[in-house]
Amino acid sequence: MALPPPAQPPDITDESALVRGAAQGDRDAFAALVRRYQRQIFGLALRFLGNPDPARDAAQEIFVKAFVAIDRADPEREFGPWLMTIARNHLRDRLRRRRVRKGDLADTEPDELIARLPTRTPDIEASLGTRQETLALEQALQELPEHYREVVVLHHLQGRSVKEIAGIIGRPEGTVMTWLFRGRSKLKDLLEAAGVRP
Amino acid sequence: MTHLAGDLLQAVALGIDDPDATSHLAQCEHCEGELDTWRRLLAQLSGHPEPAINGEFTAEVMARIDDTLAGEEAWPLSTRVPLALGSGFVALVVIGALFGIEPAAFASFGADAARALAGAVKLQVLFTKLVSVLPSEASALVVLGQLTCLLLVGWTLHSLVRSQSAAAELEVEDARSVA
Repeated sequence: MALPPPAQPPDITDESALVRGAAQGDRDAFAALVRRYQRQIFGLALRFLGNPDPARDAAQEIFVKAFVAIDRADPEREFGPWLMTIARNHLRDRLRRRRVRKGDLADTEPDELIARLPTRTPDIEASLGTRQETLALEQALQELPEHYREVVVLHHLQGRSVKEIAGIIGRPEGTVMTWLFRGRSKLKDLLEAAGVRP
Repeated sequence: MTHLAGDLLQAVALGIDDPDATSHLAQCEHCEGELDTWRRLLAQLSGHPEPAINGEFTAEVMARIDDTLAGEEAWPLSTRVPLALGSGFVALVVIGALFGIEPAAFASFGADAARALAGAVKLQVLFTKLVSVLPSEASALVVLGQLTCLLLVGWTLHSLVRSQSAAAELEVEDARSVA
């Protein structure tokens, strides 16, 4: 079976103009960038936070942060990785604050944390549609440890290269590749344990 | 027959060429089936949809940006900078009081006091620059940093007071011994 082609990177020339425009205060240019990346950012937020309402709120906060810092974005480079770095830091902060508020989650391992997050299937179903395999895969993704889930989502669902992901999460490429390998293995195990054959 | 390891099958599914694995797969239905599973999983991942985002998301983002900018205007640089400077010097006075430094003591410090105060002024300039580049929500952080640095200035002044006092006591003792 042939693999489908990876997600195409956005047109960077056009994007450079948008980033330059936004840095000069062009609101329409920034709105165009929001439209271009909103699904990716919301998708990442949903997989970090597990619930559409906080994910939507966090995604909006991420874009506000990006707008405030837009003059620090390099128009000659792809906007996505820069935005994803802001998104990841923001989402990790939100998770950390949530752990501090809950008190008992401060030192939990990612596996435990994911296990304690609320069940998200009905919300996810509303957002993703009802195809059984899609839901099963989404549920399995939610059960992955946070660091595996992050790299799997960025690489396979959002089409980011290993090099880009290494830059976004601040880890060596070798680590990203290892986490991808282990993440996929765990994902396969989870699907099989749930009685779903990929 | 020994079957191929999961990592190797995953690597083959990702397109990594391994002649030994290829020859094994040609004669092992079990591993061929596992490889198919891996290929389906990778295809499923690549085709997995990003969740739909309903409503006026972009408009909501732009409205939040307007709110943020309005907040910046309500707390503009022309307010933040003098406030940061003022709070710094107030903190210096409070810290001076806490360390028991009398204002009159500054006069006896001479060049040391001038250096300490020059350092305090430099710190104020640094904080003013910080306040001008940070968003207003980071003001608390700036004030915290300011207090920390001013504590160091206070500690330095405190040390100066102690060394001045010790020197004065030595002079008194020398005078007594001479007498």
